[in-house]
Amino acid sequence: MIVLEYSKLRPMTDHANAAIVLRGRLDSFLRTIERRALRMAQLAVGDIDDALELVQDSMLGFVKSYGDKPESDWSPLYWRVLDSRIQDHHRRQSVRRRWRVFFKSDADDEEGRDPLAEVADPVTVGPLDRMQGSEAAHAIDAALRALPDRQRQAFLLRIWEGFDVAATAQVMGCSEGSVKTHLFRAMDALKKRLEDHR
Amino acid sequence: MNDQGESGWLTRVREQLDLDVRDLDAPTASRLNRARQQALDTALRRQHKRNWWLPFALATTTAALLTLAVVLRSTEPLQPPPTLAAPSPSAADDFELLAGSEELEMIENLEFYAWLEQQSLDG
Repeated sequence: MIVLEYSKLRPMTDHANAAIVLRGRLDSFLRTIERRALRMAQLAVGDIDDALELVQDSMLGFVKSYGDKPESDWSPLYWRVLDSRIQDHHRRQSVRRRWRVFFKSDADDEEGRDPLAEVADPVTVGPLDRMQGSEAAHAIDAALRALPDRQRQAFLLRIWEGFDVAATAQVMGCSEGSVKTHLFRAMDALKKRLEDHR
Repeated sequence: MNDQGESGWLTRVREQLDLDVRDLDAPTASRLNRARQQALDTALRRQHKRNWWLPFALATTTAALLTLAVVLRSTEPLQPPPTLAAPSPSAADDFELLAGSEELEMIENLEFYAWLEQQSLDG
């Protein structure tokens, strides 16, 4: 009787153990990339809360869709998910902006002007910004934010994250030629903007 | 990196990004940690919820298909071949035949029932 119960329970226990091990591995992996992901997202969307939401959403999507893939594939797959979430965010923002412009008449512009809305958003200057004390750090931050999205992504993935051109193309969902073009333009723009701080 | 031509400004950018990440303030790090845990919990729970019924659904579908196959196979030879001269009796015909005897009895005694009703009305 005991043997029978044990044999019934064993597959369940193995399954539970496998789930615990997988969770631990995923947790370790996400722990190693989460801060860089947050920095990348913040450079892309500006607001720290939006960036955190994007990172959490990308983690959720990654674990759900690719958690069962081999560990060696996790890194490019995660960055692919984050890149796609960032693009979605920009698409949503541009649609919202278009609708706002469509419904907003000139009269509204004059009458509905909210002076508070014109004050700089204090949230935008988040903890990541505050810790950058030096002028050079601010300049780097501003130069990276000023880059077009695809150029910034190509630069961060290729130069900071260390992916080769093929992997960067895979992550960004574009051709290797596009990656090279984006990267060249990004480097050129950054170089010009940061000349004073070289 | 080397193929891009290592230069001071590029190194400085990379160092600054590493510094930003390393010196992330405690509240943001804590929020990030919570976000990770929540993402893991939600995703793995959904995965579990999504998969638990799969073996049951598979077993049920297989059993249903097998039953259907057995039923079809066993009923097939019992069906008589259709003939033009004498159409096969349907279930409705069978029912009429079964109920028929009582109905005929009632028709035969209809005059008696009418008389009985008249008696009760007069009385």
